[in-house]
Amino acid sequence: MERNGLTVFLTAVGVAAVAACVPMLQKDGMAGAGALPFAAALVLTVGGICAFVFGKSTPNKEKPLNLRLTICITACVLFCVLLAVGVPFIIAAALLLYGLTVYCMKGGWMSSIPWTLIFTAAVYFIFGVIFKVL
Amino acid sequence: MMDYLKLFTEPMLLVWLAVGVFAGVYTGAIPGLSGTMAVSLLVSMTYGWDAEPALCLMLGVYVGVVFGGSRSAILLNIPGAPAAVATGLDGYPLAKKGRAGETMAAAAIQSVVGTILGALALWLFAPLLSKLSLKFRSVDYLLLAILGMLTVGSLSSKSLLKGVLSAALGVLVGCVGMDPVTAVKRFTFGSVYLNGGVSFVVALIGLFGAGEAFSILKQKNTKPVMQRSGRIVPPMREILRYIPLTLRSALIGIITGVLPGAGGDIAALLAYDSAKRTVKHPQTPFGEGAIEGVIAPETANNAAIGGAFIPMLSLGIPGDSITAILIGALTIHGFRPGPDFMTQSPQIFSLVVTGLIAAAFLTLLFGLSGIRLFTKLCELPSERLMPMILVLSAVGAYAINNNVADVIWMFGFGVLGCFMKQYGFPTAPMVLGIILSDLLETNYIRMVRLNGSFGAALGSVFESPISVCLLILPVLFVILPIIRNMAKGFTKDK
Repeated sequence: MERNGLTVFLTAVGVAAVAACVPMLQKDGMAGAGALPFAAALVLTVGGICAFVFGKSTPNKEKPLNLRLTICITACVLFCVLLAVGVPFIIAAALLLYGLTVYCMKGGWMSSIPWTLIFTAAVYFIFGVIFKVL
Repeated sequence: MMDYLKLFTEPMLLVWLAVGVFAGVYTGAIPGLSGTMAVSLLVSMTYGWDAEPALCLMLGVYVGVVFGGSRSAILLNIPGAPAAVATGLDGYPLAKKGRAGETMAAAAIQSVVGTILGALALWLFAPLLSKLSLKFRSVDYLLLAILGMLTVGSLSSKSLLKGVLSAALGVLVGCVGMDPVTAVKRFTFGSVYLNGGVSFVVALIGLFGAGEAFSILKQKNTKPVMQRSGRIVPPMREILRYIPLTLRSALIGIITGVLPGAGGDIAALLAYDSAKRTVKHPQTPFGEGAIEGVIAPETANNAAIGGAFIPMLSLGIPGDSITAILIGALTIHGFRPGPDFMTQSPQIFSLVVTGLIAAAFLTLLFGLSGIRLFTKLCELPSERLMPMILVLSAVGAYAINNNVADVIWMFGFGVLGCFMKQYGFPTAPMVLGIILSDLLETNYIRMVRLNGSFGAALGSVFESPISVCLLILPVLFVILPIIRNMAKGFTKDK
């Protein structure tokens, strides 16, 4: 077991959940809504602290977040934004597919992201005019 | 006797069964499109039909969907259904070694065997097993759920502590939303979306599908895995070699399926855990591509189908969510599942039994066909395949409720899954925690409230032999490995 950012995150989640469960336990005791989440949160907190105290601090050679992953996550965020503003699902999905595939295959962000954004804006504009949204 | 042959004397029934199995196999392979959704759509579609063709179609979809979930689990590590999570643990590593075809063929064969054994249990032992299901109390369900949680050890290949943390996070995520008994809102942060809790299908697709895609896209120049050509159907001696494992897994599947609310998801995980504990010398270690890790869960989750029909037909109590919908479908068509069902409607009972067996063989036909074509997916470059997986994951998440929030949560779980993989945290225990949290909590609260206090509830464990057996099993699961390790250490020192 090693000490790392995710262990710290899980411990923090556990501590926060324990704090959130205390009022529920005070209200209904061990037969209420707080019992199971409190138990799970306690396991997370204690386990995380044990991992932090007894774990080895080995440096991870691979960066957790590199440029490729950041681009992929950004593309997915853009996809969700397109869905939320009303772009039809199939169009948004096709654009995500196109943008990511071209980016990953070509290996360079300059070649595909701007074109993907231009293509997205153009399609949105066209559909907006057709459906009289714009 | 003629009732049992009706499926073969009326060809249209067989046709509808085949259509159902075909649709089910391909629906089950798509994450987010569940058997429950498919069967509930068919209830309204078949409203005006006669009972028998409608039942054959829904039965076919049910059997097909349970098998279909394993295809995407093996090829892409995206389980099509929660019951296929355990299949993917060893199925996907086998596909990465170029053995996707053989693995999918093994899954198809074991699905057939499991379904047939479940149907035989339904035919021969329905009255006996239904009496067993009535004897289960809240404390027994709680102990079963705890037994399920103890399979975390089997699902955490390298570090038990990481598996426990992952399972605890899963239970916490499963507690988001309204408490199942008191309806108190927990961890909703004022969001209407979170009132209903986080769907475990969204978590499943995110952790396995999007998480895997993010992990692979993060790397440059990943090479596709060339699949083996040649024989994919295992020789008969290979199939016969695994008979004891198959029978054990089928028994686990049938008994878990008989328990209302338990279902194929838990059966598959328990069978995987049992295989890991009982198979002494697998050719490959579990978690790295042991074929036994595919045989056990696939047999169990299909055997659970027959098991789920036992309380449904003999008591009118659904064994799982799909049988709950089938009860409604039978009621619409004028039948009343319950204690007198087998005597009042023997033709439907016999149709279910023969339909399950026929559907099993049809699953083999549709399951084996096209395997070589599907295995080509593994040979695609990851730069082309992974974006398709991300889109498929988004489709699956959106298909649940047509809600963008599900897609956002799915990508969120995907990012979490990517980091969990990066730091060596297994994702299967987290899904296990989400699935079991409801069963754990509902039965725990019921047990404490029915007995008046926590102490009295603990005392009630010793009132029934079933509870005592279910209590001894988890204790043995924890103690036996410790004793075994101590004995190994003692032998080494000697």
